Amino acid sequence: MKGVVFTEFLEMVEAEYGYELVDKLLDNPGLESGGVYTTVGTYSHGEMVLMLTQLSKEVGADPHVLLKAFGNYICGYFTKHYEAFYKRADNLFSFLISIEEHIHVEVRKLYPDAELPKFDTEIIDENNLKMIYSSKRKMSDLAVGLIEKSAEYYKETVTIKKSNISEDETKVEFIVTKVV
Amino acid sequence: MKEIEVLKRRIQREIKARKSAERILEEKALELFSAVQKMNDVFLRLDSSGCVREFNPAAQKLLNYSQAEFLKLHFTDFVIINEDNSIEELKKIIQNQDGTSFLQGIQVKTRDGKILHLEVNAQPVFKNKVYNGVILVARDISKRMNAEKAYSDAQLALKISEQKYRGIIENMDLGVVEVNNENVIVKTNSSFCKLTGYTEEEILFKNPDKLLQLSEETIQIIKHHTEKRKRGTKDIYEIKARRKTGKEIWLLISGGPILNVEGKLVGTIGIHYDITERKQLEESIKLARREAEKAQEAEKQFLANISHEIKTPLNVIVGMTNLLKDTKLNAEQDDLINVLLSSTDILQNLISDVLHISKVDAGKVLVEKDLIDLPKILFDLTEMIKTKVENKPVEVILEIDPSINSLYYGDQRLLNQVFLNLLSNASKFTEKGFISLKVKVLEKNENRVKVFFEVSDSGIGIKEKDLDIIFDRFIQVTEINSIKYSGTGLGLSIVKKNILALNGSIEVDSELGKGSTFTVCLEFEDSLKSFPDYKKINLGEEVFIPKLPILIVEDNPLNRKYITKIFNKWGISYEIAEHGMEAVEKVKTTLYSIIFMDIQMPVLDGYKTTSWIRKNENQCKDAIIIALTASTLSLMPGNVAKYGFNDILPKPFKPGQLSAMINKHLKQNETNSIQTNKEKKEEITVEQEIDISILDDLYQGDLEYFKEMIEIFKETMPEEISNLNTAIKSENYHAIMQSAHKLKSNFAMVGAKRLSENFQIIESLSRQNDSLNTIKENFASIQERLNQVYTELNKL
Repeated sequence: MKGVVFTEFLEMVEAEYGYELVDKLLDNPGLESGGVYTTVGTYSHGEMVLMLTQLSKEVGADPHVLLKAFGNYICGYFTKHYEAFYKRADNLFSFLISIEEHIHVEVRKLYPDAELPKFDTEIIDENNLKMIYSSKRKMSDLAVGLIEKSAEYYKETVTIKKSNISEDETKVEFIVTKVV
Repeated sequence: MKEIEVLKRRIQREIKARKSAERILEEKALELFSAVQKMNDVFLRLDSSGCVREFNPAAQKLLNYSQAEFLKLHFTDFVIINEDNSIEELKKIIQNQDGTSFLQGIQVKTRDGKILHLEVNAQPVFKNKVYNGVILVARDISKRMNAEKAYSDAQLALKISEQKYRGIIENMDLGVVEVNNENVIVKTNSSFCKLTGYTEEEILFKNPDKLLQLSEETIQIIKHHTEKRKRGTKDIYEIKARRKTGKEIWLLISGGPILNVEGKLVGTIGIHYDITERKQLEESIKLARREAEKAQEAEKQFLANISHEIKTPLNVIVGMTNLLKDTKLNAEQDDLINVLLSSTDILQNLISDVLHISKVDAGKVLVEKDLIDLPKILFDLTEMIKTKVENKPVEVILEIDPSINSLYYGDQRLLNQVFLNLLSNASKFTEKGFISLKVKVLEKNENRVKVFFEVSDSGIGIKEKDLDIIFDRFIQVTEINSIKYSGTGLGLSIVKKNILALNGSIEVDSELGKGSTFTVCLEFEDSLKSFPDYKKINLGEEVFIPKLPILIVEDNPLNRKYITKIFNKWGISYEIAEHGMEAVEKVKTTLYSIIFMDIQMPVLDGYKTTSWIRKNENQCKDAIIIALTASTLSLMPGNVAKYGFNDILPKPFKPGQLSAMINKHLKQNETNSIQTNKEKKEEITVEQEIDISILDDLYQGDLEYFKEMIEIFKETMPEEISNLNTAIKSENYHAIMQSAHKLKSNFAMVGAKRLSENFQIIESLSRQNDSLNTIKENFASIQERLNQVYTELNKL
C-alpha cells in the first residue's frame, strides 16, 4: 500500500484525535516499518489494518465507520493533487466510470506495484449507477467515503447502498443514487 | 514530560521518514535517469524560452553536437520551421496548459546540415501552474519517411506509367481485352469496341469466342496458340472473326497471361489489331503476281516463236527481191528494186537489233563466261575501224594498259557489240581528227580486275540536252538525215543494256563541234589464278611455263649454259641441240613449244635449219621458232617472217626479255588453241553452211525444183566467184558490187545463209566505195568455206 494512504491516515487521526493517539498507533510493535511512513514509500497493507483496528479500539468506533470517514478525508488529497482526473469528467457518474478505465490505468503506469481495487461500473439509469468493488484488502468503506466526497466536487449529492456480494467483503456492490 | 517524549518520537519519525523518502526518491530518480540515458529515443528538455537544458546520448548522437555545444542550443537551431508549423503555432500547442502532449512529425537539421524526420512526443512542464518548458521524446523516422515517400513516388510513377501505356494502346488502335479463367471478358477498352462494333456493355461478361462469332477452326487455332504460350514461346497470330454486323475481319492477336500477386493465373489479356485491309492487300498482290507470271510466260513463248516467225518471211522477201533484180528489168523497175533492196537491208538490221534488245530486256541474254584476250579483241576492232575511216583524215589510236597481260573471263560477243557500236558511231560522226580507244586498269583485287575504257572522238559532238537521252531506244540525235548517219537508233541502247548486263557502267561527255567521249567501266575476273602455267619469276614478272619442252639450238656452250640456268631456275623443261643437224633430228620426232634458234652455227646455220623445218614434214613444222642473234644488221623484227622465224631475240638478252618472249608467243598460242577448241565445238554442234529450214520454206518440199537449183548453182558459181575475185583485185567497186549481189542471192537460194550474208557485206561496202580490206577479208573467209558448201550440197 502506498505511503500516501498511511500519511493521510495519520494526518486524519492527528487532526481528529491529536498526535498522542498517532504516537500510540505508531508505537505498535507489529508495525514492520517501525511506524515510519513517507508518501513515496510502500508499506504492507497489514500495518494499516493493525492501526485501524487499534484506532477503532482506542476511540470506540466501528472500523467500517472509521474507514468511510477516512475515505472522505483522503478525497481531499486526490482532488488537490490529482485534480486533472476530476476535471476530466463532467459529472460524478462519468468520473466513477473513469476510475477503473482511466485513473487506475494511469496510477499503475506510475506505480506499477500499486494495489488497487477493481471496479465494475455500470450506469443503471440517469440517476442510478452500480459499482462492484473487488479487493483482497476489503476496504470497500474507504471507496464509499471517496465516492461520497467526490460527488461534492461535482456539486452532486448521492446515497450509496452497500451490499456484500462475498461474505468476506472482498466483493461488494454499491448502488449509487443521485439525490435530486 | 510525556509530551516531550511524544514530540521527541515524532521528530525522530519525521526525520526517518524524510530520509527514507529521500532514498526512495533518489533510487527512483536514478532509475529514470538511467533509462533516459540508455534509451534509443531522443530525450530533450527545453526551458520556457526554448533552450536546451537536458539531453540524452541519443539526442547527442542524432544531432551530432558535442556536450558543450548542446547546452548552448536553442530549439530553432535544429528544428526546421516551415509554413505549416511556425514558431508561434508550436508554442501555442506546447503551452497548452492542460498538459496534453502531442505527436508530430518534425524535421530537424543535424550539425552537418543533414535533414532528418522525427516523431516527437512533447510534454509541457509546469511549475506552479506556470509553463516551465517542455520535455521532448523523439524517434528518428527518416528511414520510414523515405520509405513512405519512395512508396508514394513509386505509386505515382506506376500510375503515370499505366496511363501512358493505356494511352499508347488506345492511340495505336489496339483492342485490349482481359478475360478471366472462365473465359469471360472482364475488361475491355474503347479500341476493342471500335474494332468489333459492340458497346462496352455488350462486351463485358461475354464469351469472346461467341462475341467474335469465331469458327470452330479458329477456336482450335487459338487453343493451339494458348498452349504454345504456356510453354513459354511468345506468340502473335492471325484469326478471322466477325464484327457485330457480321462483317468479316482479320485480327492480329497477341495474348499473355494475367497473374496475381502470388503468381497464380487469374486470366488472359489479349491485344487485337485489325489487319483486314492488309489481308485484302495481300490477296490483291497475290493476284497481281499471278497475272504478271502469266504475262511473263506469254512473253517467253512469244520470244521463242518470234525469231523464226519474223526472220523467215524476211529472208524470203530478201531472196525474192534479189531474184527479181536478176530478171530482165527496165530502168524504172531496176530503180524501184534498188530502193526495195536497201530498205530490206535496213529492215534486217532493225529486226536484228530489236530482237536482241528484247532478249536483253527479257533477261534472256545470258552472259557467257569465255576466256577472252581483251587486247586482241580491241585490237581487231580498231583495225576494222581503221579501214572504215580509210578515206578520211582520221587517226585511230589504241592504248592498252600493259598490265592487262592475262586472259580474262568475259563475254566476247557482248563486248564486241559494245565496242563495235561505240567505235562505229565514232567513225560515223567523225570527219577529221582522231578516234581513240584507251584502256586502263583501275583496280586489281586478288583476281578481280576493274577496267576502264574510253572511246573518244573529235567528231560532231552531242548537244548537252541530248546527253541524257542518247541511250534511250530509237533516239537519234542528229538532224542530218543522210544515209551516212542512218541507223536504227538502237545501237547505244543495246550498248547500255549489254553493259548493265555485265554489271558495268557507261557515261558520256561531249561538246558540240568538238567531239565526244564514252567511258565504260567493267569488271572482269582474271583467269590468272586458274592458269597454273604462269609462274612468277621476279617481283611483278611472270613467265608462262609451257607444257611442252623448249628446244634450245645453240652451239656456244656458254650461251647454252646461260639459258639452261635460267630455265632451270624457272622450272621450264627444255632440250638441247648443239647444232642445226641435231635440231633437225629432234624435230622429226618431238613437238616443242618454242624453238630458240641460234643463227650463227656451223654446219647448218639458223636460217637453213629453220627453212628445213618450215618446208619439210616434222613435228615442229608450224612451231614457234625464235631467232637468237648477236647481230641485228641483217635480221630484224621486220623481216624475220621471211626466213620462217616467228620472232627475234637479240643477244645478249636479260632474263626478263627471255620471259617476255616466251609469254608473248605461248600466250598467243594458248589463246588460239583455246579459241579453236571453242570453235571446233561450235562447228561440230551448230554451224553448217546450209540452213535446212530455209530450204524447206523456199522449196516447200519440191525436191525436183531444188535439185535443179543446185545444178544451176554448181554450174554458175565458180565463174561468178572468179569474177568477183578479179573485181576485187582490180579494185573495181562497181564490179564487186554486181558480183557480190549475184552471189548473195545465189547462195541464199541454196540456203547458205551465212555465206550469203558475207556477200551482202561485200556488196554494201562496195556500194559505199570503201573498205576494200574488209571486202578482201570477207572474200577470203568465203573462199575458205566454199568447199564446205559443196560438200554439204552433195550430201543433201
